[in-house]
Amino acid sequence: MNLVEKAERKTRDRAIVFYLLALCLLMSAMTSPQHLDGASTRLIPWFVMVGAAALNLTSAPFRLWKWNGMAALLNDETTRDHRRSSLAAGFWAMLLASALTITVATFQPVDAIMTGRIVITAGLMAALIAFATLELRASR
Amino acid sequence: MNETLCNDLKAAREAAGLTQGGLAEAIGVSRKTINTVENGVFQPSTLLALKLARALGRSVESLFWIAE
Repeated sequence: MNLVEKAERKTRDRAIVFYLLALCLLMSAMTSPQHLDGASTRLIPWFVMVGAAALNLTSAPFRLWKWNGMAALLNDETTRDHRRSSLAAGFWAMLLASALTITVATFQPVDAIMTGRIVITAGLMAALIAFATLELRASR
Repeated sequence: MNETLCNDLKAAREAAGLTQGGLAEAIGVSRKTINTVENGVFQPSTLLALKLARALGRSVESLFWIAE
């Protein structure tokens, strides 16, 4: 298997991991506690997951990983274009989630932690799903 | 004005006896980049267009053109 074929397999694996990560974020948001008791300790693993997802949507890991030709193939022009499109999708999802949360908050109080979780989850999920879908579609 | 970038990449690649993977390897990009450029889904940068033309022994103008 040559480098291009290995990169293609890794691209597919990355897309599947992104779908799973989006699912984990959704499950985490749906099962999150409604009250603030002990919320700070429970937020730490969530922040780690969110941080990992967000970092993987940037090109930062590839800037640190320049020693290998594989990094160039996993972060080539198409991937960068898909990244830009998916981050834009995430931005719009965050705006929509914020608007919906504000609308709901006019009828029923929503706490800040819950609001943050909803907005971040919506944005990251949209970006992860958009990126994975674009990557898989391009690989066909 | 509705302008579209057209290309002759698939025919040029096949004429050169290369697969998408082979061309991708020759210019250091992934196969999906070749696939999306061929299908007109992705518009390549000048750098990539020049690399493609050089790898296929063609001029950039003969590989890519604007359809109005």
